[in-house]
Amino acid sequence: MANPLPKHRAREYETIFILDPECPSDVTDQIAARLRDVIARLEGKLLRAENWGRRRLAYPVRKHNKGIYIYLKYLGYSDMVAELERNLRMIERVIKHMTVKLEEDVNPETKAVRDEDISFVPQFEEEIDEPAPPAPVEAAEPAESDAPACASSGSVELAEGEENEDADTSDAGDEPGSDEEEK
Amino acid sequence: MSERPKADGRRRGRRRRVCRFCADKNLKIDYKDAQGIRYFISERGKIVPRRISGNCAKHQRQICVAIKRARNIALMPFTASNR
Repeated sequence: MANPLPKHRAREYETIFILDPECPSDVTDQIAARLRDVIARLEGKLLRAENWGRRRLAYPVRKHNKGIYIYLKYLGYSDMVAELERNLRMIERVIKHMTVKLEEDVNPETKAVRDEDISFVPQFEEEIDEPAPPAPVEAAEPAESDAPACASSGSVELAEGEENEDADTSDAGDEPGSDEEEK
Repeated sequence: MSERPKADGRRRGRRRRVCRFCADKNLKIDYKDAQGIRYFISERGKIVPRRISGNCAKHQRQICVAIKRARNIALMPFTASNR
């Protein structure tokens, strides 16, 4: 704190890039090695790398409907993102990329790197379609609050009106969730 | 657009008013988690307004940024897919 040397003040970034779906795994490894070099050369620190496998894209990108997602998290200085993105643009297999700044003013010493966090092996192999959406939190929420209301109002007639209202709100809450599942 | 049924008065008044993210501090808004924020887009891919989703302003802003980032990296559609 007392010593705001620029070298102690890295930024934390994350970059996601998408490779074309036909990219063989050895090419993926080459690209990974190249990006590691870039990060190392600029005195950055790779914190995390993940391969999300072949995923369906939400919209076609360069005529591809699927892509291999690679996720990187790293520390770097001001020149890092420009250089990394310049490299990504040069690699033709990369069809899309995006960098987000996560944190400003990070002391690199405080961020530990664990080897097991860095792997370019696909973690979720061959996700043909998006996985079935998990039951929306929304659906569960009113149900829970509903149950005790029903139990308590079962014996008392006066409470019935309230119970109905509760049922209504839970209905309304359910709808958006079920809409999505139809899609 | 038939998302809202004909409101029978009462339903309109009694909407969940507590923001989900305020209620549960453990819920993280992350643009990488497409399943998690899918709830906040309509079938057409539009961002669900605050009056429907019940989010507070702060979290709606975060959701909004998350959706826009997810769109940028093809995790989420800009518009209804022609599926």
